[in-house]
Amino acid sequence: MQYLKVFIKRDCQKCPAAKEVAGRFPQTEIFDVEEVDGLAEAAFYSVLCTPSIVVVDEEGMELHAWRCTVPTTSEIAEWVN
Amino acid sequence: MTAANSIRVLKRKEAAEDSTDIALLVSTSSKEEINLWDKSKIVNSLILETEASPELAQEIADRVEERIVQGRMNTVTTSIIRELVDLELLERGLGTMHKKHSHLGLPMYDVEQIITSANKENSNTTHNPESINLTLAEAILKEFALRKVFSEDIARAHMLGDIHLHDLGFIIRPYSYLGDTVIHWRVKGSPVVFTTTMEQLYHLLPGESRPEPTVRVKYPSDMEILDHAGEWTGIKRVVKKDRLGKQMVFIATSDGRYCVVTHDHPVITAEEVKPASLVQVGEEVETLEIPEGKARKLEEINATHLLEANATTLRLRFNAGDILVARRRLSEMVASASRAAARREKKGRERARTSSGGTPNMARVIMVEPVEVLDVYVYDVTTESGTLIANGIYSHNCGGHSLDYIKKYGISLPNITSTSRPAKHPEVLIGHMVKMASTLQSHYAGAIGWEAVNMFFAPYLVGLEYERVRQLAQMLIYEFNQLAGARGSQVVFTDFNLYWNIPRHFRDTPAIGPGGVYTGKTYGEYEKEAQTFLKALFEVYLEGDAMGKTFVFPKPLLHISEDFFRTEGHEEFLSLACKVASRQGITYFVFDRGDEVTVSQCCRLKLRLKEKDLQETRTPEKMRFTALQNITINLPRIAYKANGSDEVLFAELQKAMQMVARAHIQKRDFIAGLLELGVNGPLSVLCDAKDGDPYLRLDRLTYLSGLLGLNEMVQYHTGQQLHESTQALKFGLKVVAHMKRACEDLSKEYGINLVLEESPAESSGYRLAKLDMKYYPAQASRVLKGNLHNGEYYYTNSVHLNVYADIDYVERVRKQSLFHPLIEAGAICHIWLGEHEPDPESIKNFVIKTFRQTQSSQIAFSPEFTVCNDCRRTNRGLHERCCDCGSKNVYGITRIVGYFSKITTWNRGKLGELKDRVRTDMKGGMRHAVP
Repeated sequence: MQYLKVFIKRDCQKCPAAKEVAGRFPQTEIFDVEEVDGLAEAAFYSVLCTPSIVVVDEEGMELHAWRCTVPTTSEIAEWVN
Repeated sequence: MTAANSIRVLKRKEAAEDSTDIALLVSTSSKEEINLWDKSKIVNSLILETEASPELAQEIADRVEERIVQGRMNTVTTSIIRELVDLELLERGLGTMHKKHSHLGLPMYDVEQIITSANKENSNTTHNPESINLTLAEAILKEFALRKVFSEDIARAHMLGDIHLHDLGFIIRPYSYLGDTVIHWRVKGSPVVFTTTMEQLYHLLPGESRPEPTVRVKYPSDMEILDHAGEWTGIKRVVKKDRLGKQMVFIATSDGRYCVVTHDHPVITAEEVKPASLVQVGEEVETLEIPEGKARKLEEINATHLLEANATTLRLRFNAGDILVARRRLSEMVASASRAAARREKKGRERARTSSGGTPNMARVIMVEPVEVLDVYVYDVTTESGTLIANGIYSHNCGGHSLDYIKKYGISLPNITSTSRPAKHPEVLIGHMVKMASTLQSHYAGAIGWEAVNMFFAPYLVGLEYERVRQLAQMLIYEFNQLAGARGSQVVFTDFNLYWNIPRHFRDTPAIGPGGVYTGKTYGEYEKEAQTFLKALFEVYLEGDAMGKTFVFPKPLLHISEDFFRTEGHEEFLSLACKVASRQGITYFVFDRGDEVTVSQCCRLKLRLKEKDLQETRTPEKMRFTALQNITINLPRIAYKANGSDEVLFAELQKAMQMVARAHIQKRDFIAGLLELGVNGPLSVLCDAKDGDPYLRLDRLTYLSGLLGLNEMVQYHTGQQLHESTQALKFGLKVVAHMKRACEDLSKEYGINLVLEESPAESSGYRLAKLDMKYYPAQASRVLKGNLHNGEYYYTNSVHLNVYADIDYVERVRKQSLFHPLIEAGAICHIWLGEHEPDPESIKNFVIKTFRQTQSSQIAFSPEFTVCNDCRRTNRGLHERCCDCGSKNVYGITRIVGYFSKITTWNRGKLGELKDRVRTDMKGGMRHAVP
């Protein structure tokens, strides 16, 4: 099982799009990097900009990531089943 | 004779009235004088020092006399009298008065200990007469700071070990023009040119800000001023400062112009830029004639006769009503010029914008004399070009740990008895740099970092043979390495920021060459010379000193960026830098990713340059960055207080951060107070900046919040150390993320730039661990590292992983680096090599991998050495005997925190850590140290 971690913040133009595309997948968790928990999670996955989407396995290991860009649904689908 | 008359007072030197007397008497040692008892002296001192009422003072003095008589003492010292007075104050519940009246001093036993045994607070110092003076002075000043500078709760938090306030010490001051200096300015693009005084311009502008008590600044948005060769340049700001009694110099030229400037104001002559006091009669300066306006489509409005009814200028020519009307009219004219400019802009008439404002001439200086003036304020206009025309004379308006500062201005310091002109030869420049560093070090608590040293040196190296360049590199390193003039006779902490590629932000900067003159080229054009010098420096580092031992300073901070990899010859040079790292360990690899621009100093302090700073890269002599103070939070203590509760832990953390911010503000106010004393104050040396700003710019400071013992905090709170589980690591990240957010919020609240730093914590780490063993022994003993029985225990540094954690060095760097983006003011990962000398290629691959695949901001590789005092050879690894001659007369060297030092000078906590460090040969394997 794969999970999506979506990193966003307020006043970020592309963030709604990232949220929307990742929202089509059930195992999605949203992190606001302006919150302490979101920032800590972002640091753990070396996420330095928003929006970023990280695909992780059940152990939380990073499988793939789109940093500072928004992938398409099909790109995500290649990693999530 | 009454009983009171028979009392004799043994007067100690401290009773002298000013500090010079005290010093004088102390130095003439043991002469004590005996005075007759005089009760009124108690009364007077209480009134003077504590502002007590005469009645209260008399009452206390009576009571003290009674006690002395009752005690049948017929000889007392003034310190006993003071103690008795203090006792009276305390008994009456007069705490505030007692605080003011109390005595700062050291017990006899402590002084004896300081004289006879070495202070191990800082392993860079040796035990010598100067370090004794330093320790004695520090003992008093620390007490003073805790009682007077910081509030009681903050002092208490420091003494109990919740936080640690690191060293004290910093600086400032103004220079400039007199208010009646005439300048020509206009609203951008407007055909109307205003000729006014600087004072008038200042008062016409809206919105005053006051970054320091003695400095007021206004930032006009859309104005330009007449500059060199009649060109226009944008006005960045106009400053009004307290003159603070600074000596002014009157300069007159053969074409009837004159100006009065501060003695150190840079004046541009045909030959060079020099302080006004050094300008000679007969030298040529550029002057400017404002041509008849119409011929140039310019209309000049001269308002200089409308001098303000300002008491400070003492020139009142009109009555107040006239002035009011005149000022209003002037404001209206400026506003209408602005509207006219906007209309012209719309119509696209750009001609007036670029049109020249005057005709330049050359004139001889006919008079240069110091003058007495009554003015209280001086003014300065900072322009985009760094120069302007004032009273028709072309002048400079532009200081740091930038080599360009001394290249341009030479050496002129209030504490040095002679003044040097800018260096013409590279050897002299090295001399100037060493002297400047020495003076700076006596005013700063931290390290002195120098920006882009190899690049700033480059214009002096054109056409030199490689052998000569190498000789210069050797001279530079030895001079700095042996400069033991700093506080307590220790070697000056120096950092050199070095670049293989000319950093982007300096590529187009006009280069300053021999004699302090602009060479007409940019630094980008000196890349080859800068690279040759850098190579020579690293060859010297590779060789080590006469014993083959690694140099300790200046620390070479090699900046690695994408541009580095794009610059020709980087592969070969990186191999050399990695060979130095493997053999001597001294290379620091600093990573600049993306558009980030940093300047490093101290053990790991790294300051990111903001937009305002980057603008200064055009005038690098102005670049100087200072952190006011570091305050470290004892993180394990917070976990002990929280006792497993997340809620309490984060609440306590927030409380500690609040305290850090408040302590910073208190320190800043104290420094600002010293600066207000100006030239007669203790901080005058660094006030003496030759540019428009004071040397220490309070509005540009960084305020540091340090971290200590995250690993032990997490261990106590979650039961696991950072390296033991993902949950523990994530919890650590959450703590640091919380601190980062708190820094941001507090920065906004207090109007300061508060950022996190990995405190080097060489001595504070041990101090806080000891205090926790005192106040929280049950909790601390569960997580402290090292040996609790022999006192060699410690907290893990900053956010680092346990030094003996059973993990690979690659994993260690990867995990620690996750914290680096959150720690803005600098972080470092250490790779302990021990006796191993890994293949330089392994180091090179690792450096590249760390740059590309992690967010690490800095890494360093630390070998260990044994140096023999008998055969003078250096061997790798720590040994009890010399590997060559077998002598036991040896000492060990390795990195304590961010620099190399003799292990015999280390404190016990650090010795404990040294025994625990996991060494690696970088082949993937690990080895524990042999104790």
